Amino acid sequence: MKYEIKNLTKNFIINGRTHEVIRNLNLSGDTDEITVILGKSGCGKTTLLKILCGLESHDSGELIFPKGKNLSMVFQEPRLMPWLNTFKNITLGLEKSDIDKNKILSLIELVGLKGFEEAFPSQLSGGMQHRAALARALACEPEMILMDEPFSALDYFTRAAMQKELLLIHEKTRMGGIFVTHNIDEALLLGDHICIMADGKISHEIFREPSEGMRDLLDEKTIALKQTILSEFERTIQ
Amino acid sequence: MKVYKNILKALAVPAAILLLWWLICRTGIWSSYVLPSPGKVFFTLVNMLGSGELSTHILISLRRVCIGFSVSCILTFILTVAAALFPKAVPFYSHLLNAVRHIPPISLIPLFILWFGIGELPKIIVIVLASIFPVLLNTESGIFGCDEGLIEVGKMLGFSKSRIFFRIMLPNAAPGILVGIRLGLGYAWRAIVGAEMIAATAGIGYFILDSQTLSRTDKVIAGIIVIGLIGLITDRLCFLLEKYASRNRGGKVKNGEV
Ligand SMILES: Nc1ncnc2c1ncn2[C@@H]1O[C@H](COP(=O)(O)OP(=O)(O)O)[C@@H](O)[C@H]1O
Ligand SMILES: [Mg+2]
Repeated sequence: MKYEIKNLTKNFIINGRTHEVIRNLNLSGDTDEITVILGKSGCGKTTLLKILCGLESHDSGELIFPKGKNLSMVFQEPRLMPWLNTFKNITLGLEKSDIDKNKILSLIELVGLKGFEEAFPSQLSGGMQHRAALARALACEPEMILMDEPFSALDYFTRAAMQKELLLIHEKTRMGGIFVTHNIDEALLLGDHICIMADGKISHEIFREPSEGMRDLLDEKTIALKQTILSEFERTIQ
Repeated sequence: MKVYKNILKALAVPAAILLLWWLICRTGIWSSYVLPSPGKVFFTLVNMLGSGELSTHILISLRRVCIGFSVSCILTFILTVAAALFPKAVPFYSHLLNAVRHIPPISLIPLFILWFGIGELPKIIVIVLASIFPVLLNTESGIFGCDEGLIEVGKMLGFSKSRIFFRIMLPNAAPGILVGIRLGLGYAWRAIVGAEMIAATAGIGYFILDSQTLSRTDKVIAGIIVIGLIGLITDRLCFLLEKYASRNRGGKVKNGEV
């Protein structure tokens, strides 16, 4: 399914002064591809995702976007409920009657938490908590998910493993979404469609051939892309 | 082994006090009317427990505490749900409640006797006034101190306001609520004993005052010890509950463990 964001604008009023965080942002894409939004911290990425999933209002613009049950979000922090075990955290958004135990167990296996169904968040490592948070978003079987720098707090090895898993999940379920990051390598690894966000809008878009399996960050095409992205950032700073 | 050690530690100081008490009685500085010997108090206690004299009073006091404290919990629940679902209503009563909080409930007894007589109602009201504030304040700070991030998860999952309250804010506040319950029960127990000393014909507070008029200091001391013991037992039970409720919160309830 196609989604579209047209002329989105969002201002925050801080101490009586208006701060324009998003101005005339346009973006469109498909719910089954991974769109990466790449931008410096503070450029409004979180605000954009919150607007898309209804946690924040916007001032003007039009959103043609999945809503409610068709959309879920993975936050920057795992945000698990400390009093619920892994299984119950993952099924938090489902009605009791809708819980298909086998489906959830295979989802738990997919995110690599098999054997930890009964563990509480305080008994999981940071990486495992992020996996549980991802599974919670997937359990609702939305049309697409929004991910707000979900791996930025993780160490290099855990992050690499999670990126691999995310691509694997995408391949298996064909569920895509918007992935926000400030990490260029992460954007290059995950995105079929990379959007650079600066000055409150999408300043540059890159479309790539859908990849088979993991992308190689060291192949010539990718290195060239990285240079394009870097020079694009240079340009927007000036 | 560790349990035995802890029990021994807990008993050491009371045992020393008991010994001191016994020694003072042996010297005969004070008459046994002023300070009866530990042995005498112990036999009085055993006798009264055997005859059921004490247990009727204890049960009457406990019953009052249970009723009054339940009312406190129900009122807390109603006020907190109201504040969560209709935050605009809060300014209408918050300052009033804050003022009432500072009035010692015992000081209201003369008025209550005037209005309600010396039946059960004034005692229940005293317990409610004594116990509701620790419960209410701890519940409110637990509920409204909820991490905004967890609430956003609820909104993201499409929860309604009441669902966010019952599925996220309330369980999140459970350890805090139990702290309030533990404090509130202690306050309730203290208040009922006081209230029964002023206006009652039964209950452990009445029993102590009555024993004093009959010059039975041994019964007075036995009664006081029983009050302390019951307080200790309820507090321990609440503490265990509290520990159970926060068992997954990553080792917060480590100190204070007995
Ligand atoms: N609730 C808020 N109130 C006021 N200003 C905010 C709020 N949330 C974000 N901002 C401002 O919006 C800008 C973008 O923030 P954010 O979307 O969190 O950036 P990013 O996620 O890209 O790091 C920041 O300058 C921040 O100060
Ligand atoms: Mg952010």
